[in-house]
Amino acid sequence: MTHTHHRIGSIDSLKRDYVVLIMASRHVKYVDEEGKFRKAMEILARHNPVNIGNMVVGNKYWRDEIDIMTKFREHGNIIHGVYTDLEQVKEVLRELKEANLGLSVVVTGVYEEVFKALKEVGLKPHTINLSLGIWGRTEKLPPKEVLEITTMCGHCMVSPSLVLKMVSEIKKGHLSPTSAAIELAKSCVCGVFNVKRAEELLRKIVAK
Amino acid sequence: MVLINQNRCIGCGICIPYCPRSAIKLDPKTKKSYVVVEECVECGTCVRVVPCPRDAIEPYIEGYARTVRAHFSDPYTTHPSTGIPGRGTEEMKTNDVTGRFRRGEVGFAIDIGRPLVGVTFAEIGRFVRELNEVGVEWEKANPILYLLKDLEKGKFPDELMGEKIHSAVLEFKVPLSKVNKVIEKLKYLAETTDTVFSVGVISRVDEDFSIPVVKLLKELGLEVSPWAKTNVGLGRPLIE
Repeated sequence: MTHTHHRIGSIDSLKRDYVVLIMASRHVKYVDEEGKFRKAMEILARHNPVNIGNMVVGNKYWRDEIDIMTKFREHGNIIHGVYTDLEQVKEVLRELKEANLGLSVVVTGVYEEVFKALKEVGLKPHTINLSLGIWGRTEKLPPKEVLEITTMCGHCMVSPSLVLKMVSEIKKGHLSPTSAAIELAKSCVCGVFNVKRAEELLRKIVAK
Repeated sequence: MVLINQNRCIGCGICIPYCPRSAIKLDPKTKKSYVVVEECVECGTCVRVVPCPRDAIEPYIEGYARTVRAHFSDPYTTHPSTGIPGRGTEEMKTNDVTGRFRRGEVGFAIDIGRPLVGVTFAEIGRFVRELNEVGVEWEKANPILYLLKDLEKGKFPDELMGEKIHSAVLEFKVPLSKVNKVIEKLKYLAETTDTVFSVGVISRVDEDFSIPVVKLLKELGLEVSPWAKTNVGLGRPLIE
């Protein structure tokens, strides 16, 4: 999650990409934190996320989904759900508000859209982390079309070479764009990688 | 470092593209894969996800310096100073219950080496020294501060200075009135560094949903991404 807000791409593409993070602060003593996270994870999973992750277990393309849904630590949990539509995010927020779990919730996305959703659900943005982009020796970076995919893993675990390999495998007819996107998603252990958006971006590169 | 078991490796090369640092190569003589030790940052990706047909990739982290590499490169490790996975802190993600960033304050999260270029501790130390000149309030729970021998001089233990990691997040805050000085310093660092860094700016959002720092950043000629992380204030007990 560290840097879900440094994703890059066109506004249209980013408007189909939202990450919801739920986190326990180590400075707060929660009653039955594990139970709260099970409930929160159920809410995330109910609204058709394209990816989910649990920092104790991993993401849904690399680990067993039941483990992701049920295995939590006594304290210090972090979970994620990734969505392609603002309406899904609204529903998730509505349910989280109603559940009143007391856990911190962070939504990454085009922030004006996120603010609209918050207003509709009756919530207020508390704090924001804005991105001023990448500075320094940017000539050392991979091409923008590759970065659009790799920056969907905030920890930069998705390799640019693997993106190019997947493009080549799709062109040869060895892999579908969907399977290639899933293969890329495995490296992003937190589960914040948007496989649907990756699939679209891979198709765009292949069509060039 | 990660080892590729030379007795098991059949040289199929399947592992090579998975490494985000391109640290896995094929030896032209032996026709087997191997890990370039200096480039491997112990991120653990190969161990976790490469579908090696012979299970030839083996985790093998030995010694203090390599363990530190893992702490800053593998999101699956938990640093002792933060108690959370990854190289950063809770930062604004739990600001609704910690009150780490108050109104009138602006936080910065400078992720040096990100994305994909990497950074040495020597360069991180230089960033620390330069930012000290502005007079910033460092986030004390940050793993980088935990490792520094001398915060004022940006000095890490000697054995770490040449070590390379995937990236390190420097976290600090300043009053709104000092933001221009931080930006000036970051511009200087961008001109003089041999790596890249991603800049995050943290602010409380006002009651009317406006963000005080945005106007200032735009006045300074900066492009603010439309994409951001928003803490929606559901944590309890809530700090207003």
